[in-house]
Order: sequence, then structure tokens, then C-alpha cells
Amino acid sequence: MIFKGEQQQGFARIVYQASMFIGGGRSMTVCLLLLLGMLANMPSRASETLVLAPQLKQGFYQTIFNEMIQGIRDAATGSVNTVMISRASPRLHAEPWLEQYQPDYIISLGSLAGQTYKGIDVATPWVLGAVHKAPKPPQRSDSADHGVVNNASNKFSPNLTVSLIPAPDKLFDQLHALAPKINRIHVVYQQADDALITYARMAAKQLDITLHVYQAEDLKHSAELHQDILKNAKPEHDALWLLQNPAIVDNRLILPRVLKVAWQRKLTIISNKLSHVKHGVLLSLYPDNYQLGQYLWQRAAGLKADNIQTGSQLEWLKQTRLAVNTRTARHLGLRFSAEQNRQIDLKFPRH
Amino acid sequence: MFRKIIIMSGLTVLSTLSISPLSAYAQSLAYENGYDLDDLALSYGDMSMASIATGSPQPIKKAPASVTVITAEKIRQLGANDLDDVLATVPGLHVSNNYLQMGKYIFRGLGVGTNSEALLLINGIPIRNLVNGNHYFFWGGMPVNTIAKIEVIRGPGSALYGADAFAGVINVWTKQARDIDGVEAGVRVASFNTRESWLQYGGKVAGFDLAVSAEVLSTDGHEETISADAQSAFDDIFGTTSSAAPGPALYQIDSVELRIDAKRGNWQLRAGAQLRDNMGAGVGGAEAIDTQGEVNNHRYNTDITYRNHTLADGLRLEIQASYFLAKQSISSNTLFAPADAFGGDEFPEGVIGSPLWTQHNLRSNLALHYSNIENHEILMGGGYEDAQMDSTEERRNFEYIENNPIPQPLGELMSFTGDEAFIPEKQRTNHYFLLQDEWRFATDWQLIAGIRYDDYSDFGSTTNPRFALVWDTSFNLTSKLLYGSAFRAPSFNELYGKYPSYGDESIKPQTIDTIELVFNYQATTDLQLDFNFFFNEIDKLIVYESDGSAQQATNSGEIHSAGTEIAFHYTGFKKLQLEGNYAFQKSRDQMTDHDVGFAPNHEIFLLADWQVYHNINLVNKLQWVGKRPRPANDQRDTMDGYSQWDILLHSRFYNNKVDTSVGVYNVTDADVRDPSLTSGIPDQDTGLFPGNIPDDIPKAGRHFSAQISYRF
Repeated sequence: MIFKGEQQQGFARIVYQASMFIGGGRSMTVCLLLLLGMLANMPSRASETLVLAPQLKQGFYQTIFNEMIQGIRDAATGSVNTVMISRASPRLHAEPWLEQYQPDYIISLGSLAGQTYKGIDVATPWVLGAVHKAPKPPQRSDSADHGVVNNASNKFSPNLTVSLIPAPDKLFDQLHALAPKINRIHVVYQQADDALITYARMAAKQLDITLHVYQAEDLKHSAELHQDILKNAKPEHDALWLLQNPAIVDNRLILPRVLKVAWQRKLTIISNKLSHVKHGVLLSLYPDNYQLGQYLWQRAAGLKADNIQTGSQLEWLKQTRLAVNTRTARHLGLRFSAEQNRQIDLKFPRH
Repeated sequence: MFRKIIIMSGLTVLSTLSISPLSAYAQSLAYENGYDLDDLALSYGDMSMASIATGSPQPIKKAPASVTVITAEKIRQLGANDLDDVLATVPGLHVSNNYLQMGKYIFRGLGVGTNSEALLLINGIPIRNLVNGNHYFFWGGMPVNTIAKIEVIRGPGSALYGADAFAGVINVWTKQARDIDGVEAGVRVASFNTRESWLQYGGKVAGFDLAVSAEVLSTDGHEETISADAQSAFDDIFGTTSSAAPGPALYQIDSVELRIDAKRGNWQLRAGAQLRDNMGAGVGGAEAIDTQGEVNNHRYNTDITYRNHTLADGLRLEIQASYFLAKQSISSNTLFAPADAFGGDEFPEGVIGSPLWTQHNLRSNLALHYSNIENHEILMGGGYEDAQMDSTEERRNFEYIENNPIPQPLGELMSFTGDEAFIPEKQRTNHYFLLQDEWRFATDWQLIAGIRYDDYSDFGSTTNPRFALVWDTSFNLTSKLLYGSAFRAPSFNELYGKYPSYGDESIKPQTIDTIELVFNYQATTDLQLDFNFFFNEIDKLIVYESDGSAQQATNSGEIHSAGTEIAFHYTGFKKLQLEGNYAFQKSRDQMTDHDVGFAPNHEIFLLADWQVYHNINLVNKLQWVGKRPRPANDQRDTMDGYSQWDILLHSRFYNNKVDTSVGVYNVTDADVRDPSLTSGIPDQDTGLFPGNIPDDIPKAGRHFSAQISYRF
């Protein structure tokens, strides 16, 4: 089921309609718009942004997308049209919305919207947010199955994907601020996390932190690796970093063991997953949805300005908020200044 | 039909349990599929995390106690239509809707008298009836659509909240702009001719974060039959048929709830109105069914709050000034007893007695939170309250003659005001200071010590300390040893009441000392267990002592009580959430060595929320209330317990813009009753009382509710 979201009337459109009503005719309107555009140092035609967002059934998650959409609206200089896409929507097809709104920018939120690409013109900047990783480009057979003609004018993947995974440099930076003695971070990862780990190595280097990485084949292997790390780590200088990947850090096997030993040995644990902080991990970063929305639009506008039509970049999330487990912080002997306390957006335990 | 519903509902729960092992497999598949929910779930962990992350910030005052927090989403899950429906699910809090139009909030078995042992706050401001010390006999309920969050704190809280934070505190927070975020309109229809509608707006207007809401409700109330009431006993003596029993109590009500909340920078302005009109008198003021009386209770509040969290390094400031106005009036005279109640024809229109008054509370508070001393967080505060009753009036057609408990006719309906009314117009002022320190004195150990001094113009001063020793025992266990004392202020009735219930101006506040041991245990990442053990010692109990024709308020007696509360919350199944709690308490009056009565010794609440389809949830809710002992002077057998089962179906459509809920309450049509007062005409031989309503007060049988709301 697809239905049309609310449409914001652009300022230019209102001026146009008003001038037609006054009877000035098209030429007068064009002059007026040009004049206004010059005065306001704005493009002569206000930009149209199309937001493709998922239609979810669960309220809180929908709130998250709504906050992002609000961020896009507040950042956008022209009109913003939102289309909500459900799982029942015909996969891939974006043409009806493209024809209807003629967008200058496309911002997709969530992987479902990220898969709705058929008809997106190469020249239109396309940014994807609220996913973990960039979608895979469609296989030839997939495209054929869904009637997508693989021609040069159709775009198959976004120009830019902003991941929900917090940028390692922000995470390490936050760790450094709250636990300055830590200079070594251990992380268990899978091959699928390669890109993140490569970025994390560079980020760690810049902060004079040594990153030790351990590639796991499966959950069992991950459990062994974690056990070794926990056994050999030095509490004063070492921290363990947990990834979101449930194939290597799960809630039943790995997390309880890690938390237990970490508590006993006073080891610092950081995580990419917010709920881990509730369970006892020292800190995590989670999305600032409104700021992320603003950023997505700014990046789309930047792509347009730079006339970037091809390529597929991936960025890690920098629009983040900070969650800290103050109980764990006390246990680790950490003391925060009033300013540091103020910067914590979410504290656990809650009561 | 109902049998079918019951069977189907039972089957759904069973089928959910049987498929649950598959959910872990489904979870891993979902990660591969990369659906949006799962991308978010991986970042946040679970839905409750998403809720917390987008929710309200933590308050400046934090009580080290057993706390239950109920969010708006949780209220929806519970299918609650009134504040009382929500509170009934909290462990250790028993709600008994047995008197006029007020639910009694019985914390840990302490529900003696008019229910002034529980403190109800709305946005931190007390709702306290000066006459009786409770939240108004004609409270008239509180619809839930304007509520953002409810915090329930069990145990004494006077060190933070002052008077009447005795057995527990209920703090209701109403919705702010971010909680509403747009426009919401909704309607509800339910049994007993119940109609409810609401309209809310939350957004930015002229630089203000503005929330405005209006909620209108009208209901006839349920009509379960009361077989005999207080008048029935007189009818037996005089051979009359005056009683309206057998017949229903009268619970009709017209209710309007208005709220406005404007925030800009450090400033917040709130105003609210709770207008309750044409309220039926329930079972009647003397538990003789009053078929005529209709009461209005209007409550208004406004406050302006200034918060500055960057005043100086480590210093947070909060200043608040508030005004509360409550006015009780009548639209039809209330009757103590029906026409020709006492065998003669002196009262052809019934025994009319309508108390009316207006109450004003002006309050100012200041709180400073300082965290720049290593290992200490200090809270300092102070405040002033001016509470006043005026426009007191009593309309009655009878008078009492000393040493005769039977009202005598005046011949006509007369109005008595000022000092001649049921209570004189009195004023009470109070100032207080509080100090609290959270001291981390060793790794994993924290001592929270607080003290509050209150000075009242009428009954004197009181000092209440609180200590909490918190030990982070292991990574998944926190242990707390709590001690606190609290006081209940004597009500104006208890200080200044007249014949036949005399007050005493020398009366002292009732006190409580509580020791509590609390454990918060995260058994697995999916299973949270909270349990506690408590012991209360209540002293200077304010009671009425009777000499046969009149009664006198006095500080007399002691209550010792002890108990435990156990709560669990399990999220291990992807589509099924389970939670529940068990509460046990035993409260003994030390003078009589008898249970204080009115509350169950055992109570269980269970909830299973099954996500049937991605936008549809089926909730099964079971409340089991154990037997309720009678107080010492009540000759009746221990009161039977009951089980109430509710089934709710919630769904959201169209990008969550349309929200619907359908509920069947008391599915099995169980006989649910709350205890009537211990009174009536004493037995000639034993001197014991049979209770005004011998078979106690029935609550609603099977009933229905359906609602739909739309968000713009």
C-alpha cells in the first residue's frame, strides 16, 4: 500500500499562484521570481525534495523516522514531499512519485526505501539514511525479474549512504573524554564489518589509540575470542568494543559473559548498540534523528551543487547522542565533571 | 459468544508460546533481510530503548525507592481508560473504588480512614483535599489521554515531598509539546453509555513549545445491584421501605479535562482544569444509596517554572510558583438518608446534607542541585505554601442534638455558612527546607541521606529523614537498604470537625517509619526481576473514637505491617512480552491484634502482549485479588477475592496515524466487589458492626470499550 504524504507548498509556488491570480501573467511571474531569487540569493526555482520513508507499524520506531523527516523539512529550502512505503509496496518502483513530484533531491530512509530505485535519474542526487550499510547493487537477473531495464539513465544505488552505525572516531573520542587512560581497544568482527574496521583503524591512529582486531568465523569462535580478550586485557588501559552484528555479539551467549567478567575485572566496555548500556556497558552512541535528517538534506544539496551524479559513498553516523551507564562508571572509578555530565543525553540506570 | 472469545484468546496465547522458539531463528533471518525495523532494532536494542531515547529527560528530584514508571505507550497497552485502571496494575498498590466517586489508593495495605496516606501529584503539584486529606471524595476520575507518564513511588517520601507522602506517592506528568507532536483527535464509546472524545495539539508556535489538550467524557456508570444498604437496617427496625436497595449505586459523571503547557527557553507555564459535573453520589455519603444527589467538583491549577541547568559549573536551579483552586458545589442536593428514613414522616424530601467549599493553595518552591564536589551530589530546597478554605457552606434540613445519633428535622432546607458550616473557614501555612546528599563513599557503594523540616501554622513542625544505602553488588544485581520516615498531616476535619465527628486542635501528625530491602536483578538480558521486603511501623494513628453518640478524632494506636513485592518483565520472545507482579502484605493493628482490613493480603497481576501481526497486538491481562480481611470491629466473614480478566486488541494503521483499541473487561463476568465501610447499626449482643452494605459494593461486570484516534 502506498499513499501520498503531505505536500509542503513551496514559497515560489505560492508567489506564482498569487501572481496568476493578480493577473500579471507568466512573464511577470518569471520576473518576480527572478527578482525574489536574486534578493534572497536563492535558486530561481525552489528545490523539490522527495523523501521516501518506510511505513512502520510500531510507534516508537515511526517516531524516529518522523524526527528525521522533520529535520529534512527544517533544513530544506524548497518543498518537501514525503511518500510512505510499506512492505506490500511494489518493490523497486519509484516512477509514480518521481513523475508526480519531479524532485531535485531524493532522500530515502530505511532499507525498504533504499530498494525503491527504479526510475531514479542519474542526474538526481540520491541520499540514503537510517540503514546499516549501503544496499547491494541489483544483480542483472534481479533487474530483469522486476522489469528494470539496465540503461545508462537509471540509478541503482544512492550516491551517498549515511549508516546508523556510529562513526568509530566519535565513539573513541567520547571514550577518550570519559576514560582518558584507555589507549587500547579490542574488537571482534566479521568479514562483513571490514569497511567499518578499516575506518576504525584510521580513527584510532589519530587518537593515539591502538586498535586490536580479531576476525570471528561464527558465534562460537567469537565467544572464544571474547574470552581471550577479557582474560588478557589490562583494566587500566584496555577497552572492549562491541559491534551491533548479532552474529558475533548476541544477547544470550556473549553479552552476559562479557558483562560478568568485565564487572569482576573492572574492564571498560563500549558498544555500538544502545540497549547494551542498559545492561551495563559503559557507553554507546545513538542517532540524533533530527540532526541526521538535516544532515541528509545538506549532503543532498551538496551533491547537487558539486554536480556529482555517480559513485556510491558510505559514511558512518556522526549525528549522535551519548548514553552512559553511571552505575558502571562508578564501578570503574570514573568521575565526570559537571560539563561532562551535561553532555550525557541518556543515563542508565533510569531510577 | 463470550465463551468463543475466551477460548480464542486462550488459544492465541498458547499458540504464541508454542511458536516462540522460532522467534530467535526469525530474528537472525531478519538481520539478513535488512528490514528497517531490524536496522533500528540493532541500533537501539529493542522498542523500549527507542521509547526512552525519544522520551522525557530525567527529573531533578530522584527518590531512592521502589519506583514504577508507566509511559503513555504502556497506558495504551494496558487498555486503561482512567488513571485508576493504570494504578491497579502497580505492585503493592491496591485500588478500591468503593466510596462516592474516588478510588482509594491503598499502598501496602495502608488504607485506613479517608485515604490520606497516599499523595497524588499532577506535574509535581499536590492534589490534596484540605477537608479530608485525600484527593477528593468527588474526584471523578482522570482520563488518560493527556497523561505522558506516571511515576509511582512506594514507601515513605516525606523527606522529598513533605506531608502525606506517607505510604506512597503517585506523580502524574501531563503531555508536553514533544509528547503530542502534531494534532491528535480521538473518540471512545463504551458500556454504560460512556462517550469520550479528545483533541490535542503539540508543536512550535511563536517560539514556544506549545501543548494544548481537551478531553470530554460522559458516562452513566455501571448499574450492578446493591442488595441492601445502610438504610435497609433502619427499614428493618422501623418496618419502612425507604431504602433504594435493592438497586444500583449512582456513578454518572460529566467530565472535562483541559491542559495547556507552554515552554520557551528556561521557562515553562502550565495550566489545567479538571471539571467534574453532575456526579452521582456513588453509594451515598452514609452508604445509603442516594438517588438524587449530584455534585460538581472543579479543580484548576497553574504554575510557572524556571529551570537553569547552566547557572554555574555543576549547579542546576529550579524555581516554581503554583496556584491550585478547587471548588465543590452541587447541582442536586445530596442525601444522607432517603425520605422517611427513621420511621416517621419528618423528612419527606430525605435527609439533605450538602457540604460546599472552595480551597486555594498558593505554593512556591526552590531547588538547587550541586554536583561539583567530588563524590557528592547535593540537593537543597525550600518552599512555602499558603492553603486556605473559604466559601464554606452547608445546606441541610436536619440538626444533631447531643447524645442522640438520629438527625432531627429543621422543618426546611437551611443554609449555614462560615463558622456555622460543617467546618469553619481556616487557613494553613507551611514552610519547609530540605537537604539531600548522594555520597559515593566507596566503589560500588552509595549513601543517599536526606532530611526535610516542615513547619505548619496549625499542628506544628516535623522533621523527616531518609537514608538509602545502595550497593552495586554485581554486574546484574543492585541491592538497596532503605530507611525513611514520613508524616500524614491532620486534615481540617480532624482538627476542626464538629458534632457528631469532633476534631481536636491538639492532634499531631500520624507518623510512619519504614525499613526496606530492595533487589534489582537482571537475571538474563531478557529477564528483569525486582523484589523487595518491607517493614512499616505506624504511630500516632489518627482515628475516631466513638462514645456511642459522637466520635472524637485522636492520636491512638499503632500499626505494624510487613510484606514483599516481586515483579518480572520478560522480553525473550520476539513477539510476546510477558510481565507480572505479586504483592503480599500483612498489616496489624497493635491495639486489637487484628488485621487493619480493606486490602488483600495477596495480589497478582499478569500481562501477556502478543504481536499478532506487525500492527496488531492482543493483550491478555489478569488481576487476581486475594481475600480481604475485615477490621477488628467488623463482624462479617473475610471478604472473598476475585479474578478479573481483560482482553484488548490494539492496532495502528496508515503510517500509525490511525490508532484503534477494542477491549472486553471482566471477560468472565466475575463477581467483583470492594469492601463497604465498617459501620451500620451494631449487633445488640456483640457490639460488632455488620457493615453499612452487608454484601459489599459491586464493581462493573463484563463491559466493553472501543476507541479510535487519528494523528494529523
